[in-house]
Amino acid sequence: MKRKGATKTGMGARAGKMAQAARVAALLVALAMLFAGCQSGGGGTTTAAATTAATTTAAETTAAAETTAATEAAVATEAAAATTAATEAATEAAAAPAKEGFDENGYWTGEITKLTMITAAGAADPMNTRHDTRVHQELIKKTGVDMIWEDVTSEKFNMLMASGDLPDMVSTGAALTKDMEALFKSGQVLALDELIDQYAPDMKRDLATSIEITRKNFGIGDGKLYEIPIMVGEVEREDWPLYIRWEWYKEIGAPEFKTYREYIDILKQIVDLHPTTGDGKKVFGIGGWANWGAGWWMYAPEFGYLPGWGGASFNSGAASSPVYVNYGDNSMITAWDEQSPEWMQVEIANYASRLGIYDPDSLLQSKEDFDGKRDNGQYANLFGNWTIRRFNAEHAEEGLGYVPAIPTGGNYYGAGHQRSDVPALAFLISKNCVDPAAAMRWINYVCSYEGCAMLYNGVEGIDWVIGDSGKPQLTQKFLDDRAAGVGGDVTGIGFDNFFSAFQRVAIWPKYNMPLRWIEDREIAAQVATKLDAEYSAYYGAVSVPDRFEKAFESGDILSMRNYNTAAISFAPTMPTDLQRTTSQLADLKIEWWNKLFAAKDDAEFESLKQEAIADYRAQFDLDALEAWCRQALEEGAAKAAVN
Amino acid sequence: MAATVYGKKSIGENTFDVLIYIILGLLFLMCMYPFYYIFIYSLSDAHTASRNNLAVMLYPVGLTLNNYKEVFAMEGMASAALVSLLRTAIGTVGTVVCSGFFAYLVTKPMYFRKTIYRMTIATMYFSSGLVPWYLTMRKYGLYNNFFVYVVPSLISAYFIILIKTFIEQLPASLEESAMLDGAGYITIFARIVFPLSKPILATIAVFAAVGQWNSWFDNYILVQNDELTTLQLKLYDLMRTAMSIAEKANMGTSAGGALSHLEEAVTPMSIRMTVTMVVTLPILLVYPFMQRYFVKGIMMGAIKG
Repeated sequence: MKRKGATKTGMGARAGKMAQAARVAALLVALAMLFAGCQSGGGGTTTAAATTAATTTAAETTAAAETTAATEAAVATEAAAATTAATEAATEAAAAPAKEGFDENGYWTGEITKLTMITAAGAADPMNTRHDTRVHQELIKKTGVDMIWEDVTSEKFNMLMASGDLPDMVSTGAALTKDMEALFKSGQVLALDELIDQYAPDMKRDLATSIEITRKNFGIGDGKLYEIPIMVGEVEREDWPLYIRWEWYKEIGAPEFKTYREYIDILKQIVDLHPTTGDGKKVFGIGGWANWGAGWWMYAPEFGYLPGWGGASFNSGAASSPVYVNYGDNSMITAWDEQSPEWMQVEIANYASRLGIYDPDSLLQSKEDFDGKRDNGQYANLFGNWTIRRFNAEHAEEGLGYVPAIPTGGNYYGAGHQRSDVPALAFLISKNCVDPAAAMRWINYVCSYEGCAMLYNGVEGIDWVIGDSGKPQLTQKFLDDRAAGVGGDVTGIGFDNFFSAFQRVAIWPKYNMPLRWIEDREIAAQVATKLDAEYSAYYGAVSVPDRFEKAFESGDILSMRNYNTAAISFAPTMPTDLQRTTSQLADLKIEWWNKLFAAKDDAEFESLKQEAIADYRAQFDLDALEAWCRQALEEGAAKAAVN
Repeated sequence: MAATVYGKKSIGENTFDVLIYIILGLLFLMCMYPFYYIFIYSLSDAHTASRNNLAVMLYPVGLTLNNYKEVFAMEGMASAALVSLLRTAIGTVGTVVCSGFFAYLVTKPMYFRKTIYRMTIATMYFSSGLVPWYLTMRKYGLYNNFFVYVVPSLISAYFIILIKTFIEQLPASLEESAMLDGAGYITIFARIVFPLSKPILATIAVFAAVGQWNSWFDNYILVQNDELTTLQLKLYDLMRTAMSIAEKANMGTSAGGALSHLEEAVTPMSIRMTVTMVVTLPILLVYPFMQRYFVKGIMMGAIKG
């Protein structure tokens, strides 16, 4: 029964034709399925890191947000109290005519516009989850914009750029990378000057210097402004690297220290006195974790802040910087130089290791394991204020926890205590934006002192008022909320991550106060925990910020207030081949650092150090890397001088 | 030999058996324990588990359902679960039918058969890249469209190789008889080839269902509509929120600040473990039902190569 035989008969011939027709039809179906389906490889199996995708792209408009009666009542009550001694500034503000489209309270009277902003900052989820808080609702009323944030990976961002599908707005790094230049040239983002003139008078006034710097240095040479600079202003204390367990430090007499070695010796004394926590867990002097790419060096470079050196990475993306720049005189030193501050970091870790107070798991454990030990209070020292938060939140009212360990002798700089008008981050408005005027209205508020103060401190009239002194004061509600542990997820206060024009400690000239009121040395005393109060009082200060200020004033630590970091900011992006070298060098450095930690004495350390430097030089053309970095910093400094 | 038949084994045989059992038992533990660990961690108090990394070993510490409460309290979980179920069901059926029919067609003698087959196989080795893929999907009208979860995976080169190999070992005479009785290709496929290919199709169904259930990238890139969000992306969002709140919140001075509800209730690790359980359990249930076809399908496809 062969098919061939069947086609020989008449019926068979017809059946054969029908079969042929069926084959052709089937072939067409198959081809259609093939073209539809062959793309599947690009879809479901890609393994890029995921971020949130909950967003809407259309700019649907909704009815104007309703003002809650409770809010208004509170505003009215507090405002009435405040008016008795209103400041000149407040009077001026009250007397000012309502802007077009806004009512006398500064609330938008038109329709609410929904806009979407993508961000690579990883902050979209916390922002979106605060949508119903009073701060976000105030933001909507003040701007007429209901913003939805969407986190994107760099992969998705590149894809949106390549396909011309950017949503309404973009929050991104301000640096003028090749991608950014291409983006500006492609016409996918709007030139902003006209929009600013029309819709953003407050921002234009408050960010004037930064806007001009951005126009000159982060554009494409056509004199137009493409990005709104954010996160500028004065920075201090934010990245203070050393936090010590106060009750243990106090127990040994809170000895002063002038050098790192002295500090490690203090930690040694503490660990000797408290080898275990109350519930029997081992205590270490310092420790870290290994799963953040570059091992515990993710935070170790913070050691470098204090001696007055800052790493310059030139957007290389490498785990550690190729060169360091001196805060004082802008001089440069390579990471592999014998005198480089990087060696000091390694030496400190080695010294702690030799004293037996360095957590040996640091090179192996995950961040989660570190966090567990950290929250158990198993470290006498923690690096960075973001690591102390949970322990202090749970114990500070008992007078226990971590406080800044501040050296004396004027050898070190206060971390990041500097003014910068050069932005690190920026907002862009895309050509797809359904309502650029609304986008600029939103920017105008968020990028003004007034808007930032709302984001940092809450709603005026509810969380704070202008007091008799003419300066902002916290309300009882703010203090009660704080005492009751009501967090930013409920109030929206601290609605600032990556989206405020000014750093939280930037000074608002109108009040001569940090934009986040509780950074002010007087106001901080009002929200001090028992721990803060004890610590401050010990040093004759009224609050923790006051303790810092006094340390600056006495010369115990050096201020970088007049230091200009613009040379690093304006330096060009490193070419790809040198970026590769820098990354490979960073990997090699980690290999050597691990060996160096384990050195048994100074002689062995020195010998290994020399071997490491020789190995760096043998494997890479470091002279070429150094020459490029030097040239880049000179270019940056020249630009900074012009600005 | 006789001793074995009557159940009496020599000492050597018994020792060998014991060794085998021990080795298999250890292998079983090695496979099972990680999953069991995830299970007990997800039932443990988040902070107790986090602070004593050796505490969770054999049983949950501070037994609680808090982690699950947080996961299921997420807004839109029900609709996300429904979307995931639908995409898994529709996508799996679609893939089995379309890939099966396609594979059947390329076993038939017709013009350009080999070219079409080779072009299909080529998609296993060459990808168009992310941007062209994205643009193509948009052009097809699959942006913000449920069918983006289904259509692109209807035809899979790997499945086609497996099914084609299986179909080729079916007796040709069956089809010829049917053809003589007047059956066309579609009838033959539906009435003869499809039922006979159950083992391989069941295997494909398991693969496709697992792939569909775990898939999130198409959702991330091409679907912005909340109502079409899948469970996987929703859970990933929660995991990331827990992590970013824990890692990035920076409340300034040692005055600290209140911890958010999520920080109080869970840790990034406890959420990760719970999400893993929620995502894995439903799809694990598919395996027992399909297992009897599973090995057979793979084996029979493999013999002819």
